[in-house]
Amino acid sequence: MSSPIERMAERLKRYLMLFSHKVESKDQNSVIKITSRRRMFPADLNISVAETARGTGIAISENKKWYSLVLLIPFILISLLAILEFTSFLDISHSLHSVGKFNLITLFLGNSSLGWGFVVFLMLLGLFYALLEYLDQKIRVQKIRQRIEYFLRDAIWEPSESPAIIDIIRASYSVILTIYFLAVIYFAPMAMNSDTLASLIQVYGINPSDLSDAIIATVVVDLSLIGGLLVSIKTLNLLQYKNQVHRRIFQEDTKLEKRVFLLGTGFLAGTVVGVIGGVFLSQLFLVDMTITQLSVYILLSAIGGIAGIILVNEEESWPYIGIGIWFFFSSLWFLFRTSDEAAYAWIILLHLFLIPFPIILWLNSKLSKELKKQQINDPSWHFSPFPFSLYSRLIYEFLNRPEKMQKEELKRVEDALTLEEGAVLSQINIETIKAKGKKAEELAKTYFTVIRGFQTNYSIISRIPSNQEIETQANVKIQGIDLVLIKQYLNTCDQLLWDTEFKLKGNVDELIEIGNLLTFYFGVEAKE
Amino acid sequence: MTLRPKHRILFTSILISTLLATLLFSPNIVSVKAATNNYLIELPDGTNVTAQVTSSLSWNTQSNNVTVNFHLADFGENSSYVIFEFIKYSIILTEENLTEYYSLTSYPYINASETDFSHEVELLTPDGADDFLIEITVRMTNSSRLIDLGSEFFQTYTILFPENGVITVDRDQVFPLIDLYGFPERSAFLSWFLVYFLVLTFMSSPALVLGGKRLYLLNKRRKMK
Repeated sequence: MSSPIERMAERLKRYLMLFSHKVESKDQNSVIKITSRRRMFPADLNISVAETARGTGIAISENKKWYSLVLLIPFILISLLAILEFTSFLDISHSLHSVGKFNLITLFLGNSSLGWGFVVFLMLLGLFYALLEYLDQKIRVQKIRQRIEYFLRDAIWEPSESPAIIDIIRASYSVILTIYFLAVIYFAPMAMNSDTLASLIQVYGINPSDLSDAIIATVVVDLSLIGGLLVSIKTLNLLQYKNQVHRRIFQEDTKLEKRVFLLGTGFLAGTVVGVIGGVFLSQLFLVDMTITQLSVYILLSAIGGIAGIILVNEEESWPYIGIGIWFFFSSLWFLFRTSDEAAYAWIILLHLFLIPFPIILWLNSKLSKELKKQQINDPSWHFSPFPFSLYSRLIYEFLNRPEKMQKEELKRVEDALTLEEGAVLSQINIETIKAKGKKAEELAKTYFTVIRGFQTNYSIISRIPSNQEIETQANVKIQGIDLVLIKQYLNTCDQLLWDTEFKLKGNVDELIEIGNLLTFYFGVEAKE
Repeated sequence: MTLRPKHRILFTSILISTLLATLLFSPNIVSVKAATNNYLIELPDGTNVTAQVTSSLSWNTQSNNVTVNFHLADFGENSSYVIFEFIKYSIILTEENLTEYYSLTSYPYINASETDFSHEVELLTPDGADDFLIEITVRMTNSSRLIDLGSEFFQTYTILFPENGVITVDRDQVFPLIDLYGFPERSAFLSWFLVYFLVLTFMSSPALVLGGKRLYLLNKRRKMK
């Protein structure tokens, strides 16, 4: 019934699914082309299976290698602003100096010493992340390539992912961008023109330099802790995601086991984000940062990292509540400091206004739960103001809309009902179904869509799933659906198709509804 | 009537942006209702001085200008100068005087050649008052020569501005929130708040995009059912 390359393609699909890939295949004359797509990150693989003189040949090549360069965009934007400023290109920077009441250059770049050195620093940082992303992709592909032989020979093997340290540094990317934008809010008063700044601080009776000192001291404490907390949450999510994918490696949920390992991970993640973030901020906003401040920053980041792991282990939302509580109680503490330094009065106001900020962070994990229902699990977009991987995924989803897919699928089923004379379908007399009424026809259509959408056991040649398979897969995918109703639906459809004497009775509409529901869940993925 | 989730988000965003627009533009929309009142002051020897007071009738919450212009209408017998000692501005609330402001240090005068003397002052708007009057007290005397005079020669004249009605304070309904004690000056604070709001909106953009996507998928499912 199937040729050797078809069988090989089926096996390969099953293999790639173990690496949490979504697989599509296209039959060409003597070659089968498989596109393998990771759930979230657009790391696509192109696989060709072909008949050669020596047997079946397999070729794996990467797709979208350029993607990692997208991570450079935020750094390019900042660099462009800097280049506009210090080369005074077309005199645009002049107009940027007073936009409203702000100097945009100071707002986004702080009082950093601008020059080509600054641009090179930013580009190197961006390239570091881009290279890491590429390396991550490369390692994953390499591991897929290495293990394919073992799989085909039925030897003992395990799926594997890139090392955890790469995840930690990847997690720090979006956290550093978040810290950057927070720093813009913190240092916004210093970017105001002198009149506005004077009227801002006249209530407190202080100099701008006092305000600057107070802001720097606060930034060193606040942003380090927030950075550490966020990076540990994100690292934990990334690790947990891998556990879900490869249960065979970890066996058990990391949230419950290996606490010491996780605390170490949190410490490492906090230190990494402390070092990168501290150096990054010292080039932009904290130009006058002393070595003491930098070490305090790194130390607090590491503490934040550990605290993040401990808090997440207790409850998913505790870190966010923790940040809110920190903003509130630290402003109470500053209340006592205002007697010595009046500049902290502004910091109190700033902290009170930043209390709702954790809600924005919490939205990420809240919405990722919603995305899980749509099978988008990868948390690599969390906390990032530029979530390119998510957007690319959404664009992909938009281009392959369910309704569009569904229409095509329905059309194909209709064609199958009327035109195709395959081995299976020829046994069904279409006229008898049509004679049973419009509802019967509708029910039959849903049934064929459901069958086509099913992921059958590929080692078995037959493509039609058993009722048992449909029941178990439906139960896994749609939790809470009534199994009795599914059974009733399947039995009715079977009888409708094979039994010429059978007549529909009872609540047919309900069955059609179940059919539609199953079509929605399983028909969407049918792309063969 | 129940709003669909999609429309609810639209409605909320329209509401929020309207509120923000009000916040941003309301300082500029202060209606100007200026009023000019004329008063005639008769000095004992028959010299007539007209006082012209000009000010807005709806004050903003910070401060406002009051201009008084004295014009020599005609001289009485035996005098060629009208000399001022001081001008006192008192803001009269319903019962008690709240703020008083004295002015004039050297003794200005008007005579036949310089018939006009105008004085402009910036008065602070009283806190916690919605309407008030201004009492302008001026001490002056007529003289034949320009010499130092003792305080006993000057006589007190009182003008109440405005003649009809009261001055009202144009308070925004939104701003009492921001004008709390310890908050910086409003326009400076708002410009900081704009940055704060824009940055936070940008940072929540993935969540906003995802929210839309989620609604889209939910609607799809509802249709399928």
